[in-house]
Amino acid sequence: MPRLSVWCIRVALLYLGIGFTVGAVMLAVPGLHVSPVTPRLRPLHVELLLVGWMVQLAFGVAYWILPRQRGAGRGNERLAWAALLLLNIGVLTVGLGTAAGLPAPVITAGRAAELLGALAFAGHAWPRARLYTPVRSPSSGNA
Amino acid sequence: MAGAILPVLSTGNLLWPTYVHLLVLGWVTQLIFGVAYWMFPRRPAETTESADQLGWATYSLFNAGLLLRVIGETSRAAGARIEPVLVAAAMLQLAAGWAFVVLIWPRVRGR
Repeated sequence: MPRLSVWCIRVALLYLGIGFTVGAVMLAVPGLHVSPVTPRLRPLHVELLLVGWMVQLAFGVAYWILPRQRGAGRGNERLAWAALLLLNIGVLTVGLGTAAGLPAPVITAGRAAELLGALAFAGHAWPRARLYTPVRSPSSGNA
Repeated sequence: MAGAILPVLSTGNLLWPTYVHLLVLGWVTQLIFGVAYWMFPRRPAETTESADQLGWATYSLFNAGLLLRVIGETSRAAGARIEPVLVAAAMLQLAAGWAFVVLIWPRVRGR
């Protein structure tokens, strides 16, 4: 597995664990009659699991398994690293920002980072998403 | 029977979290768990038996938690007081999430 995929998937796994923990608190706390904290946690819970876990896992697995370009390996790796960085800046800014009640421009900046991250990953993956032409061996008889 | 069902149907908004979690956890997340368990490369030292035990534990905790959540939230929508069920659901799902992290983490590695 390439290094970028290892980073993407491991960070995604951490977001999964933390997102489940936040969700468990939200589900259990009203039952424990200490509820005022839960509404502020909802955006953090959603952000960690939908973007931090699922989208980032998709980035990591796609970077790993999409067909490589002949002579160019996995293509523009800088774009992929930029996508990873921007996505995580966005997740943390939006997730923690909403939980902490930070002003709207901060949340908007976080969303912008997520958008740029998505565009960067699309730019990286676009040339790799193509028809797969298997290389035939001479013994296959259909040269 | 209708007396038990109608209050639930008339409180659709209260069941919104149940609906979302059935789809996002019961379908999408569980599909990811299953495919990752299948496709991520095993460590040379990992035995099928030990991986399967933790895998089945994750599966059982995850689905027991989800089932209790559905029961708990549906009952709450009908006006019943079932907080302990929701607390149990939360603990089971929390355990399942971290069990999956422990199961898959060693398989995410460079060549």
